[in-house]
Amino acid sequence: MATLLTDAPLPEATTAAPPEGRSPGALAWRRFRRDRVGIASGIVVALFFVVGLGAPVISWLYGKNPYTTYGQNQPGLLNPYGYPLGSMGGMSSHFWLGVEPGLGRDVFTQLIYGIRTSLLISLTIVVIVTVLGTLVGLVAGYAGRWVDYSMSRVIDIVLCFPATLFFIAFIPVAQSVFVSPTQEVPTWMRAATVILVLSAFGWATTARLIRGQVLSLREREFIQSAQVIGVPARRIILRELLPNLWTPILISVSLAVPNYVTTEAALSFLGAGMVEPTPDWGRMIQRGAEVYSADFSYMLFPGLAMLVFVLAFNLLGDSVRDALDPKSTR
Amino acid sequence: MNRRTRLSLASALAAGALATVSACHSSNGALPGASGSSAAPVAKQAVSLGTAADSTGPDPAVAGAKSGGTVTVLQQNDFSHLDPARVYSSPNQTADLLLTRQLTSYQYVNGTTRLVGDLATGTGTPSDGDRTWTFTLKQGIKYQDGSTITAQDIKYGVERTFEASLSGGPSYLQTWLTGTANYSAAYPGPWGGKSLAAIQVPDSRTVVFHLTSPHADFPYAVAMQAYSPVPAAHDTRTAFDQDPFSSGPYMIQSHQADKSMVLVRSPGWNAATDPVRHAYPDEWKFEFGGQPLDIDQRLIAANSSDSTAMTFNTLVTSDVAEQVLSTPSLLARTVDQVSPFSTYFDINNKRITNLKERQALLMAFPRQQVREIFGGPLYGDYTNTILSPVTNGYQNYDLYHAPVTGDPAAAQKLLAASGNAHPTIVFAYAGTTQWEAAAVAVSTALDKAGFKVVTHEVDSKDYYDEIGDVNNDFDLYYAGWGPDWPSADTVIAPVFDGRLIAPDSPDTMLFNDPAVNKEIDRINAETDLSQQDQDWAALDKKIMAEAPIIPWVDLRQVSLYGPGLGGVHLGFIGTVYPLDVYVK
Repeated sequence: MATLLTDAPLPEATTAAPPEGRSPGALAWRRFRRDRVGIASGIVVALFFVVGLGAPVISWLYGKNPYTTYGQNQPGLLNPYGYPLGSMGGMSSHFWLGVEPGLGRDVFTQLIYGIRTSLLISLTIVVIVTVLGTLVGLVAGYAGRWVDYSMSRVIDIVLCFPATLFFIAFIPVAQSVFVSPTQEVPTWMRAATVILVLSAFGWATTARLIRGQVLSLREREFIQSAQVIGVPARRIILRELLPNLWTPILISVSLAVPNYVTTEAALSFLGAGMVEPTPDWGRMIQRGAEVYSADFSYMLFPGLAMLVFVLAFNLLGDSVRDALDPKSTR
Repeated sequence: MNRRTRLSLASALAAGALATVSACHSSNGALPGASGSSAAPVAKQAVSLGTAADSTGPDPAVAGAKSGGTVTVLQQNDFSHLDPARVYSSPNQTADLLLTRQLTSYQYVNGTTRLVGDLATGTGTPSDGDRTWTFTLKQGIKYQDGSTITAQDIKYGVERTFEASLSGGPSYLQTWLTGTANYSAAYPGPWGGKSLAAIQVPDSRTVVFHLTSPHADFPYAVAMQAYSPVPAAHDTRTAFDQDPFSSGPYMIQSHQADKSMVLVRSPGWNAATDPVRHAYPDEWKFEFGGQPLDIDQRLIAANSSDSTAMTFNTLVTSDVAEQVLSTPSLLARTVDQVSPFSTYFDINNKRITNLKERQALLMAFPRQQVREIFGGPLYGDYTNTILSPVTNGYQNYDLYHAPVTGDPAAAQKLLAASGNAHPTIVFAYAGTTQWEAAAVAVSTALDKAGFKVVTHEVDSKDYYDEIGDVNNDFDLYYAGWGPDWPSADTVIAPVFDGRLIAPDSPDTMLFNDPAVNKEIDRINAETDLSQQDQDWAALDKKIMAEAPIIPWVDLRQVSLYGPGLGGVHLGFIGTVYPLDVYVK
């Protein structure tokens, strides 16, 4: 009986199902394929992933790395004031997007390694946030009563906490506690702190979303009948509720990734995120904002890259939602 | 301790802090855009003692200057103190130039600087081997309410600086008069009713200082704003900070903290008695709170009242540097001079005791790469000495001939000789983007020489506290210093005397060499100033042989001013000097 219920198609899918009988996944894929914006943004996003994860390969083929201070090592790249010689921040066949003012590092490799930093950090956060938020939301929504009450208050507190201020104040403190001044704060530790702190505040949004969904689902007949026949709570949560939550989870994931990319950049911009020499978009934009009138292109390229990435990921998120949940309106 | 070090850090921390381009500085080579610069550098001249005739006043007129008008001063921050006893940072000192007079002051005539009597008729008469200094006050010197400035007021003004609650000021006279650095214990200040016996006032126009040790440069010390006259009857104690009773050419009409301040003429001030102040404008309007870039852009645009605007210490930021350097009309109204501030990288002498290792650091250090991050030649001029060109007796020498880009091969050799070819070095830096980039340049260059570099970021607010910790765990860090008067006594004595090592002391490199300490005492006991200058210069070289610091650059100051102003130049304090300014 329970298995039968588990395998029952979703009510939404049933209504939208054409006569030949496709699975909900196939239907969603069909809808997605018809969405040209979705396909285009999907390709752009995929490209970012390929470039970001393949950064070392690209850098090897291109013959430059993001750490060498080319401008300081070879004359003719920077003027005596530390600004790139030549137009557009020193763009040339050797330095495709020019060189960084001051240190004279290669902008192109910094940018692609920056994607890698951003993506790795934000994807990790999204995974943690989604797993944690879904679990909390499921438990709170399904258990109800005092469990729901107390968990919801925790969610409220986390949501209304001045998170940005906390990040700026807490991250340097946390790092100084674990690392003695005579040692370098290791890069993995900086990344771990950022991931930890952002996750600590990020799960609440997902949890609240999932809890709302669970609240409406648990009043549905298939859940009530499962309860009546004595299916254990754990099984109901994992086998009955969770499969019906994939749509909101997927949508929130696709919208969270660009959100965390910008948050991570903002933290680095404010000096609480990744530090030199790890390539990072936020710090590039911060440096760009300092030198923009003398070297506009140093702000332009990371700014454009981030704009395109966030836009593409958000559009992809919209398209995923349209495909999975055609009844929702924009 | 000298608060001016803080200013030099502040300017180094400012986004793209820039100073000026001088056509005269050959060490930089030819600079694009510098050829049109009309500004003369602060001369590498001795600041001599003026005669009694130089001291009479009025100040020789500035060619083409006329009285009247209003000057607007754009400042990033309000002055933290105006009470002379608490004034030490250079913007505060500059503001007090307009509000106070001292026994002696610096007179600028056509680019030459002399120390002359200001309230006093001369630069003081020494006796008892420079232990006793006698000053006679001029006649006709008055406060803002028309009452006469007396010798008792001079004594009271110095006594106030002993008050523990009036913190922040310099401590030279207090230490010299009592013979102890813990001077508040020897004499708690005048508010308790006690009088300081070391200052005697035989009559209302004579003041006699009895020092516990000889100080030939005493006339320079009393030129500091901290030792201005304060009448006991008008001492509002801590409230004096908001509304000081003016002995200078202007007085405060209104002051809204962190917003604005207006100075108007003091009726008591008489130009005929004042050899250093012109006080051409009728009014000074201060506006506080603009960011450096906003201030630069207002001065570039020079709309309406901004055409007679200036700034004491806001530097041309890197954002507009290109524009200012390439526009002759802007360059023509730019102050463009080397400031008294020297910057260097401290080597922690307590942690790195091996001379060869310190020398290796000095050889390998990428001075050019780091300077490029801060604006290149605009930031300052390379130096190899402890003393800066603005100090009397300064001698240019280069003990190590270290290339400005660093010499990893030579450093490797020194390290090999030191017994440890790969020492670990902790480089501490303030957490700003520019210093972050500088840390990359430093660690890249030192790596090449064989050092293992750990870069450690310190929150920029806490930077000085952390490096001022005598037990700090860092090996290499930035610091700066500006002399309080043009004598090496205010550089080498406070910075390199190991007996003064204490939390937040200027001896941040924790250098303590008994031979050097002894030599400092010996030179200070000399009564001949020019002999002192020679000996200080020799000691400069002797200290550098131990490589306690890596001399970096003497900072430059490039600041814009409105086209409606004349007589604008840099003063010894290291800010744009307001006393010769006039409205065209």
